[in-house]
Amino acid sequence: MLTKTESPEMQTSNAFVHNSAIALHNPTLQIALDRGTTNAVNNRVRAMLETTDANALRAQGRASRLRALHNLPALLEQAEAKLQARGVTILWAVDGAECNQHVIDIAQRHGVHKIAKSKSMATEETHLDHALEAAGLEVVETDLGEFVVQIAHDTPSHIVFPILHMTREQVRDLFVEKLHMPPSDDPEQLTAAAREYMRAQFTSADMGITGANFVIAETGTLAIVSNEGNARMCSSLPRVHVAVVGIEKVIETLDDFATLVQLLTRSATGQRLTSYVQMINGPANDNDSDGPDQMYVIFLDNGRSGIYSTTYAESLACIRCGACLNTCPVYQNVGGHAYGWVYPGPIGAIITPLLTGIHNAAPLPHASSLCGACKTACPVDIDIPDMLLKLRGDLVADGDSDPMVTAGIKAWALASQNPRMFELGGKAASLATRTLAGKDGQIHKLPSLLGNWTQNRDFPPFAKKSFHDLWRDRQSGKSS
Amino acid sequence: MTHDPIRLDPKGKKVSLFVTCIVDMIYPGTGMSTVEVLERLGCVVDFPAAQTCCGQMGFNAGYRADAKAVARHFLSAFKDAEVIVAPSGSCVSMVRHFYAELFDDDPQWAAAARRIISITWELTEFIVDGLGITQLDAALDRPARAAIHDACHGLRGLDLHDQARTLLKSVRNLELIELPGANQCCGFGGLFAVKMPEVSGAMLNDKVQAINATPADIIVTGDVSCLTQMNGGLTRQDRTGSHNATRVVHIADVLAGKTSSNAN
Amino acid sequence: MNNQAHSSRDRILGALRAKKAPFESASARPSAYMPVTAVEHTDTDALLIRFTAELERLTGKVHVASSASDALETVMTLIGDDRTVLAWDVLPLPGLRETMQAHGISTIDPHARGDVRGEPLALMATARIGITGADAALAATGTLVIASNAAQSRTASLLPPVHITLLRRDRLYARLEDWIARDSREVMNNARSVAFITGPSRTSDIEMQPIIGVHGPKVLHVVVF
Repeated sequence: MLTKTESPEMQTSNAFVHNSAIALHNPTLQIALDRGTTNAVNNRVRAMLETTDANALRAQGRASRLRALHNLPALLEQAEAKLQARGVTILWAVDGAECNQHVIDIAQRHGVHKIAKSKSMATEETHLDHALEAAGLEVVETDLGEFVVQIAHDTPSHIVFPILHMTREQVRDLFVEKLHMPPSDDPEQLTAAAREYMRAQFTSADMGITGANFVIAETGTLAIVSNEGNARMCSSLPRVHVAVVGIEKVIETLDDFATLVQLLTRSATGQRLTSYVQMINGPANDNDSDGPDQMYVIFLDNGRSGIYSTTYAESLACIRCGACLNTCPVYQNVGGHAYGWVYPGPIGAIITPLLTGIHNAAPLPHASSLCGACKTACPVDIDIPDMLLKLRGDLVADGDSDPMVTAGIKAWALASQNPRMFELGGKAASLATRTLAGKDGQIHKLPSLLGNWTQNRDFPPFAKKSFHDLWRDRQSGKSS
Repeated sequence: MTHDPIRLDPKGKKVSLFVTCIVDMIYPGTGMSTVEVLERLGCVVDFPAAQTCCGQMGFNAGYRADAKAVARHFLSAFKDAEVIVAPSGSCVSMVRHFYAELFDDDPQWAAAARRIISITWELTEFIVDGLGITQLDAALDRPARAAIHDACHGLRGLDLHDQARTLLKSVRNLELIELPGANQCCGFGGLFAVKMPEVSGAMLNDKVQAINATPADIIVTGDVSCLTQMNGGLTRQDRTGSHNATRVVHIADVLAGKTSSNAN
Repeated sequence: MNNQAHSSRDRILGALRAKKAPFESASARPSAYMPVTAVEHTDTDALLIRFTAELERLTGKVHVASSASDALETVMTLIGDDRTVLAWDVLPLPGLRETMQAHGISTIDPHARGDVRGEPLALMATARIGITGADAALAATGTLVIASNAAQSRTASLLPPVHITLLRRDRLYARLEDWIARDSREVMNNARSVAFITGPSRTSDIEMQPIIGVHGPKVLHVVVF
């Protein structure tokens, strides 16, 4: 399995427990998370309820994704051929470094100095912005949320809503400081300030960089889903357009696209369709009055092919809607930054270890109570809990586990295969816990690892007589 | 978790109680309530005494080999069972959804596992879906307003939801009300509760706040793991914050007329 | 030849093909896809009512003209006192360009190709209004389908804060699925960019509160004739 190791300063996934505790004690973050995820969940539920048959559509969408994944190499080739026939240059990048180098080469080849960029999680994986700036290029993030992240020197905390972790007051303070905007809480004013600033960028950029939500093999089309209009700007105004797309984004036909794009918009933002869905078939035709003269598509692997033939292939079906994040009680409480990399929440807990190396994100598969809300919310019915369980198994099999937990599990397993030992162990625990119980009958403090339980809740003492005892009593009572 | 495997019709068969390890050790009264309820419905109940645990705790923590060893013991303990009933959605979910994964390519145990999977039931689904009984002759020991917390594994793994509501509606002295966020996880999650105690505690706090906001006297649930987590939060709250006498009770106890799952 | 064998393309496709492909038992393509939205009545009048309701809940404004001349009047009213607009070279409403000319309204012809784009784009950005046609409209979602070509610029529906779309009523479809089934492939073969436009631009990035008018147009008018 090709695993990509992220450089330690960048990824903080292994500090999840520590960072999630910090997040829990951040009142501003808690307010923002509460508002953001509640609205997002309500929007999705409402939008899915009004479809013809939500569960049937999820199954239809899932089947579209799985068919496409089954035929992935052939579909990539088909899309490539169709795009090339219209003058698109197709490049392939095994990893993030190669992707970034491609973009730099393209920029140099075309004398590019200024780049307008719209939202692309794939380019977050590769740290594209940093690489471009290091190469002396000016990059402006044009998506409002990503722009805020950029000027705040922050990172996005959600797949769809990059600044879910920020309150409106925080954005206001930032705009006042960096854009010299007069102080105003009014979101309309904030947006107007961003619009004015960004206009100048769009019309003076030499290159536009976008991602793509889907690549349709049947027609050789990139589909970009957006609301703000900046993705259209980036792919229409500058003379060079570069799209960076994960290889798993390819789907077979326009019919598949119709289902999936609407599942995406309804699940991500609760919209029937976003304000803009742009279908890009190539650079401008010779006679077109506007549009890019040059177009490049970079197919990014970055660890995806390593997931492809494994038991985790289903994770590649993800359409990046963010529904699992919004509905996850863990994400709702700790937000995205605690996960320590590009993709947070339930899907992030799976693909982060798979793409960056399981030992670079060991806590993430455990950052879940396995409640299953994510699977219920997923528009393509990905079995997230199942993959989290498998990853936990992989971690243990690879020796990545807490020795105290391992010792406890070994003891439990031994006792559980031997009824007498099991009952004796129970008797010992009963004696110990009844001794520890306070006047109110509850245990307020347990020793060692179990102290993690009592740090914020009580624990009941074991019963004096187990069910085994009571049953034996009942049986002997009967026979006497 | 894949789609739920088919269960065989349990009517007229002897019921083997799978009491589950936490009920056995901490809430044995809930086990007795389960027996009481089943016997009142005319079932003959036995208790294979060799049983210990289904293996879920180890499996969920990633210790598959250890979990498999425990599961094997489960298969032996219940080898003569005709029907298995447990007062736990999560343990039954473990058997029905993950025993196949554990034993499918084990030539020695695959058949036994498949048989056990086809005869294992959670209590409320056994009564309503298995036996077809929707009305119980039951009354609570005191009048109480009750709200249901839908335990996650039962809800999403076994589609448990309507059965509890159907049965509680037929219990006299019980007024059934809604718990907002009834299907929101309480934060237990097995070892998650001690590995990530802050997050687990935050989820518990959300649940306790929801409970505080209802006029429910008791919260009824089908899993003692959730019950332990939620009661742990409520009693802690009593000592350190506001007072709320509401406590969580297992549905087996409620169907047996009790308003407490406290063993001691 | 050797270099090609080890190209990134080969490595990636090779890695994908190295083992058995997953999801062999994924179900075959359905003969009929289930549509996402339900549309009960598909006659033009009903579709127009549905389209209007959908777009207006998104703050778009639909003006149903009783005739071509009525449509012309509506457009001129919307243009108001502006002396310059950004407009497609070819518009589906007969007489519009002539009428604008007669009223002293000049149209910026949107041409931004080649290396020097700054000036034309800056000029285009001064227009308050952009006027386009539409290849199709989708009733169930309130969506306009607008393809780009030699006479149909992208910028006219993108840069100006006000976008006026001229829509022929015979271009109404029930849903996205219906347009895809009937006319999409020809349009997609010819146009390098096809935009599905559903209302004005918006964002929910700040605390999930929807705000209308970000980078794309803030106001969308559809004149149906």
